[in-house]
Formats: sequence, structure tokens, C-alpha cells
Amino acid sequence: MALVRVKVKVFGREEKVLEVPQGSRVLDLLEVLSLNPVEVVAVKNGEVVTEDEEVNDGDEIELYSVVSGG
Amino acid sequence: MAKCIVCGRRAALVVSYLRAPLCKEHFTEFFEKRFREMLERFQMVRSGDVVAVAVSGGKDSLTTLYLMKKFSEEYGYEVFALAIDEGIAGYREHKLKALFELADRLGVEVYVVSFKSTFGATLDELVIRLKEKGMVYKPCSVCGVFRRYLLNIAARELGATKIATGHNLDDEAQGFIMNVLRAGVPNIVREWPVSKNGHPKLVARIKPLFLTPEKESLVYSLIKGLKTPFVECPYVVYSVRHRVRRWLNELERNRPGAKYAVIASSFLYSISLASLKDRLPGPTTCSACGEPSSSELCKACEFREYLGLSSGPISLKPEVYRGHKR
Repeated sequence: MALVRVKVKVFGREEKVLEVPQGSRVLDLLEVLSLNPVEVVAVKNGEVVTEDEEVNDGDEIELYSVVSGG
Repeated sequence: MAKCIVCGRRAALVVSYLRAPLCKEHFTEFFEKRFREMLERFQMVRSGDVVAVAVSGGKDSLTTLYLMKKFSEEYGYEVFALAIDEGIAGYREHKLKALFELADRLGVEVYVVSFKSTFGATLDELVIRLKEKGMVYKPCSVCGVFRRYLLNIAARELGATKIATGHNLDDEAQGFIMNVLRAGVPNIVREWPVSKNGHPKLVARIKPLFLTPEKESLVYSLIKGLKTPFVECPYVVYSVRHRVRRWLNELERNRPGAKYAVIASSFLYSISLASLKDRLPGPTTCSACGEPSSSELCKACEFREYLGLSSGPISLKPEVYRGHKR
């Protein structure tokens, strides 16, 4: 199965390049990173997207943590 | 790609408990409508009120400030921002910067009260003392008590009739579970989106995000460009709340709407035990500082004594404020 490379910025702390099967969604990235979708918001190309958003080769996804102390 | 159930455009969020994908425009409408309904249904504000929005610089309090300002003209109240700088190096200064930026954008005055100028020590310094004493009390307990204490004093001195906080559905659901775990029935009974003053020196509190899930608050803040830095309080690891939060989020993942069910239970407790509320002792006055208290010595004075800080009434000097005193 063809793979796509996606750059993921995790909570402003680290940047990872993930290789996932073509047709993968944001939810699949969260699973690879062991993150609970209730606790994460994904932004793709500056737009907030849902977890079922498909990711394509070369995409940059920014992940924001819902869980943050006041 | 999920499509908005209203207009068919690309969705920004699936409101999981409604199984409803919404685009950013319709999500914004949904979010703001709920905020206004909270203001109205719980009679949070009335014309002539002066509302101090307690702002930490995080997404929830920035959202609260933004929306309280947005609706201020329509409902006829005034708004200013009030921040407590507890003194956590590498954290608070970044959060305050986010607050100053938003306040400038909105044209809202900001007042800051610091632990250092009031008690003579930052939270970082107090944590060293807590560690030396065996960490009997957690940093969050001391910080929370001192913050609420100073918020009330500063809001009152600045002429506020209400304090609005950014507590959201997640915070409230966690609080309920924590109260259940410690059998804190009086706290369960008292918890409500609006708290009565009950003491001449206590400013009434309102929580317009009480029924807003934390994730939705983040989505809204991102859509509106309410930027807050990626920094986390270093003391969060000591917090029991942190573990309850993780557990509740796991539950929510498998059962969307679980947090609403928790809050519904909390409301039912509160309503069905309403008669108990009248029998609970109301706030009294602290014998040491003269502030509202639930016992002879208030919790803040108890901590002040424990940590070797100055005692007696608190006097907030004008120089602790940024901006102009009302």
C-alpha cells in the first residue's frame, strides 16, 4: 500500500514526520501518537479540521492540546 | 470529509454528543448562542453591572473575556480584566502577554495582582517551602486558595459587582467527581453556574462557559484567533484533578455526552438537596483578615501562617495594578 508523509507539530513542543497509508485520516495520526481525540484539536493549512479529515502527502498538521492548566 | 449539517460546507468540528458536524460559521453561531443563553437563563448579568473577568491567559478565560466584552453593550454592563500573577517563571509571563494582546485588541483595561507584591513571595518560592515541609499541601491547593482570595479582594476594591470566570463543562464535571470522591456534599450542593454573594465582602461569581465542553472552547478560540502560548503549568503533575480529567476524557471518548451526564447528576443533587442548602452554614468573617470565610480562620490565612507569610488584612496597593484604577 502506498504511504504518504505528513509533518505533525505536536502541541508546539515537537515536530514529527509520520508515514501513514494513503487515505489515512487525522484520527489515524492521533492513534499512532497515542492521543485521545477528545483532548486534541487539529489544524490543517490554518483551518480547524475534524478527525475524519484525510491527510495527503506533504500536509502539515498542527495539533493543539485541549488539556491545559489555567 | 465531514460536512456541516446546516450548510454542507467543510466541518470544523463534529459536536459528538449531537452527532452534528458544523462548519466554523455555524459552530461559532452555536457556541455564542449557548453563551448568551447562559447569561440570560441564569440571570448572570443585569444592566449597570461591572464585571471583572478573571483571566489567566488560557483559552477559556480569553474566550470569556472576548464574549463578555462582545455582549456588554447589548446587556448594559461594563467589563474589565483581572489577572493574578502567582509567579511561575517560564509560564505566567507568556500567558499574561496573551492577555495584554487581547485586551489591547478589545480596548479592555487589565489589572494584575501578584503574589509577590501581596504576600512577599512567588508561588515558585512557596513551592520550595512546601517541599521543605514534606509537601503536605499541594501547590495547586495553595495557588487556588490564594488566587480566589485575591480575585475577590481586587474585584471588590475595583468596584466589580460580578466576577466572571472561564470554568467550562470539563472543569465542573471534574470538580463534581472530586467532590464525590471526598464526599464533599456541601460543595456539591453549592456548585452552580452562578454563586450568590452571601457575605457583604464576597463578589458574586458567574461561569458563562459552565455548559461548554473544553474542546469546543479551544476550537472557538482558534477560529477567533484568541492566541494563547503552548506552555503548561509545571505543577500540574501534582494535581488530583489532572488524573480525573484524563479518566473523564477516556469515558467521553467511548460515551459521547458522558460529561453532560455527570453535570446533569450534579444539578440533580443540587436541586434535590436544596433544602439542605438553607441549613448549611453561610460564610462568616475571618478573625485574622476580615475576609469571607467558612470557618473562624480562612483557608488563605491558614496557608499564610503555615508558610510563614505576613498576617492580617490585605491591602492591595495601586502599584500592583497595570492600567488605571477605576
